[in-house]
Order: sequence, then C-alpha cells, then structure tokens
Amino acid sequence: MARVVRTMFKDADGFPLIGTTRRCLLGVRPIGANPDVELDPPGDVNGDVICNDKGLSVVADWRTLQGFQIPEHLDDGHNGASGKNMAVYVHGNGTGPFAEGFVAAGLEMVFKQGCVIAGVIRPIATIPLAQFQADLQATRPNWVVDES
Amino acid sequence: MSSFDPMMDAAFREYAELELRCHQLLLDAKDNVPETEAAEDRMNELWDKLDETQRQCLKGMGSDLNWVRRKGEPPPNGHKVAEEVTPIEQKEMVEAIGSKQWHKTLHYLRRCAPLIPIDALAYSRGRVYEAIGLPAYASVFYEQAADLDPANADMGLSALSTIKKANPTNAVRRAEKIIASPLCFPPAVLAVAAATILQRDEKDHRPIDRQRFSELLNDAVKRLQLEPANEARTVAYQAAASGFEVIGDLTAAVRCVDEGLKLTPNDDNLLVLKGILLYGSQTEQAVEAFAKLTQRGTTNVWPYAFLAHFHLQQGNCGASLDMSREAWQRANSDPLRALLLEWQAICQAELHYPPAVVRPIFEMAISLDPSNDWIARNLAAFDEPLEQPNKSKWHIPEASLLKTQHGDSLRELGFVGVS
Repeated sequence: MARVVRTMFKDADGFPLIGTTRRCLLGVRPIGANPDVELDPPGDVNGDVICNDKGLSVVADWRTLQGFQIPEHLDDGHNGASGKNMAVYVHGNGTGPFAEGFVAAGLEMVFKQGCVIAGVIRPIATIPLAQFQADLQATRPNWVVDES
Repeated sequence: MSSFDPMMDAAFREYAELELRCHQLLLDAKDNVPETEAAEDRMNELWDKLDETQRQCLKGMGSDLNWVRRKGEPPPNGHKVAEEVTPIEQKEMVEAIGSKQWHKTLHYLRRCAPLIPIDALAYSRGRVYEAIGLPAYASVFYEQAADLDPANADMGLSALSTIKKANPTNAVRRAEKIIASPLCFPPAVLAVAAATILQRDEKDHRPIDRQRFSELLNDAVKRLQLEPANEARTVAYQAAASGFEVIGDLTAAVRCVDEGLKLTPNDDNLLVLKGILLYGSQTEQAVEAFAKLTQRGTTNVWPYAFLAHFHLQQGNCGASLDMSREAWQRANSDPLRALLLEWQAICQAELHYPPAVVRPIFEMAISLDPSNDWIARNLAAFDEPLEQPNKSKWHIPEASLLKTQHGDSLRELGFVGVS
C-alpha cells in the first residue's frame, strides 16, 4: 500500500480531528473562499462531489509542506513548522511508493496536476458530498501517527 | 548569487508578509480565526508560484519567527547544544558574514544558533534582515534583542529605529512601554522614545503633557552625562533636542545639540538641527551653521533650502538662486521642490530674467504643489503690469512658517542618525 501522508489536527483520542470547516481536518471544505472540492450544482452542499483533481490533499513526505502545515514540534530550525496541536498521519501504515490508486472503500488517490509528490484523495465516482465526507470519516481509524 | 539567495519577487515578498502576519496572530493566540485561515489560504496559492530556493528561504524565516515565539528556546527538532554544531558550519557562518551573503548567513545562524547567546542572535538576525531589505522582520528581532537585554543602548536604539521604519504605530507602542518604566532603560533609549511620542503627538495634533515630557527628557539628559561617549549618546542628544523643540523649550533643545556637538563636532544632523532651531531667533548663528555644512557639500537638503530662504529675504537674489538650485538637487518631496522653484522664479524675476523664462518655472512649481496658494499668488504678482518687479509684492514665508510647512520632513531629522 502506498505511503500516503497528511498532517491533521489531533483529536483527544490521538486520531485525526474530523471536520469540514477548516484546513487540516479529516474532511473536505465544500464551500468558502478556497473549497477543496467542486460541487454539482456549484456551491450546493446537498449536491454531488465532482470526481476531478480536487479532494483531500495528501503528500508523499511531510517535509515538502509549508511551515504552517507541519506540526510545531517538528521544527528543526529550518522548516518553519508552526502547526499547533497537529500530527503527521500516514494512511493504513502504508510503506509503498507514493502512487495513484485505491485508498479505501469508495476512495482513490490521484496526483495533483503536474506533480508526483502531492495528490488528493477523491471519490472513485461522482457521489453526494455527504457520502464522500462519510467515506473519508470512515478512514479515521486507519490513520497512524508517523513522523518519520 | 548563491544557492541560498532567493528571487525576492512579489510572490516572495507577499508570502513573507503573510508569514509575519501569521506569527503576530499566533503570538496573540489567534491560530484559529478567519484572518489566519485567509492568510494561510493565500499562502497556499502563492506557494505554487515559488521555486525551491524561495520556499526553503521562507521556511527558514518561519523557523526564525517560531524561535521568537519560543522566547529564544532552541527548535524542538533541531540543534540544541553547542556540541551539535560542526566546525565546518561555524566556518561557513563566518565566511557568509564576511562576504555579506545574507541569506546564507541566516541559514548558518540557524545551524550555529546553540553557539550564540540569544540576545546576540536576535540582534544579528535583525541586522541581517535589515540588510536583506525586510525591515518588518528586522524589527521583530531587534525588538526581541532589546527585550532580552534592555540595558543595551545600541540594541534599544536599533529596535526603535527599525520598528519606526517598518511600522510607526508599533514604534510608538514600544516607546510608550519604555517611558512607562524610564529607569529600566538606558537614557539614550529613553530620549529617543520620548521624542518618538512627542513627534507623533505634534504631527497628529494631540494634546501634549509638556510637564511630564520635560521631566523625562531632562532626566534622560542628566543620565546621559554619566554614559560613555559613543554614537548612541550623540543620537540621544539629537532626539532630546528634537523632543525639547516640540514642547517649546528652545533653550534646552539648543543645549542638547551643543552637548551632541561636543561629542561629534562635525555631525551633519546635529549641525542641521542647530541651524533649524536657531533660524528665526538667532539667525546669524543658524546661517553660520548652515554655511559650514554647504561649504563641505552636505547631502542634507535643509542647509541649502534655509540659506536660499535667508538670501531671498535679504534681497541677495544671486546667492539665493545658487542655494535653491543646490537644494533642488537634494530635495526629496514635491512640496519642497515647488517652494524651491517658486523662490528661483522670484529671484529670476528680480534679476530681470525674461518672462518667458520665469513664468514656466512658476507654472512648474504650481504643478508640483497645487495646494500651495502662495505660488499662484506670486505668479499673479509677477503678471501684474508693473514697470519693474517690486520685491514687496512677493510672498516669502517667515522662518516660523517655513518650519511649520515642512514640519514632517524636519521632524525626521531627530532620527536621521539612529541606526
């Protein structure tokens, strides 16, 4: 299984915090200034998530992220890590190369355009937003803290 | 250009500004407010426009800001003790400083941080960010250095000066903190802090507590006499003079300038300040100070401008014309340029230059400062069908009015030497 990395806010039980209103949560922001997905009809949270190159952002290595996306305890004096109450999570304890493919039920990972070290987790087909959020939330137990 | 030097383009600068704004929000524990979210969203957009060198540089700058929020504690996942710093890293840092490779210096300051006392590290970072051309970052580190070592006059003055350049409101905030505990700070810092607030109050037409500021400035000046003679002391006398001038104590202001001149007799800023303070009341001494400066070709515009004014009032139009032309070359604001052109036009009219030469100069002066009604009136006087131009018909501002009209620029003199 591919090693898929995402930095997220940490919930009280150590697993990623679920939410849809801000960045670095387990869930996508469907609306707002910078939504993570495109909806059909546009802006309708009762509508469908379009299956394209948008979704839940993931990377191959947390070191490529911006400072505010990296947990502050990982600041090495050079990487600008300043994320509060965050952790680096790896999906399913994957160790394989960062590659496109199946992630979990109803979900797949695709590369961001022109990039092989960053991607998004998106629905396999066009589905209602609520279903996509539920599919993402269902992966919560599979995310393991791994800051290597 | 080394591999450490980023292209400091618009995207880089905007990202740097946002990173600094996020630092301030984090300091205020506002990591989960809409402004922080919006800043981070914008940073995300900019990130795609940055190359790898720019990204590494901005991440390093972020770590430097983290270090400020940790109050100088080492990075949780980085070098913590001196033994972790290699001799090669030390050598690279020294070489980078020596060759003024500032981004490389920042990098190796991070590598070698455990070797450097935190006040010195903060001050060094302030110096480097200032040299790079990021004064807002510089002010963060100077301020930290000053907080870590409040008894150090140089650090205190650098902090105030740089903060003023980056954000005048923050400079007043810091100055207020200083005058609230005057004995905790060196007299030089106290004098500059008091002058900073007075200049803001005068500029914004705020009520001034003259009694309080007089006591503060007098206290600073008394304590200054016990300090070793150095640049900070000169700067402090200059600031105190500027402060006394604002509260209307001309005698104390001139006394401060003279004390400063005892330390550095040829200091341009002090001589200019002395001339300005005395002009209008002891004009001969003022003219003497200005002449000393113009004879050695000072780059400061004011000696030339005041001498142009003086000669114009005396009817020495040739001398005035020469001085206003010299001042023109050094003028840094359109209102002043307009005034100088107006005086040139008056002098030329008095010297019987053809109207075809004089009139366009008046017109250019009006275009540079349309708010100056007197230029239009002098042009109208020039156009009056008189046999000969008559000196009495010109409007030439009195000394006090000249100082008032250009108060903002003159006020800056109080800080010219603080760096």
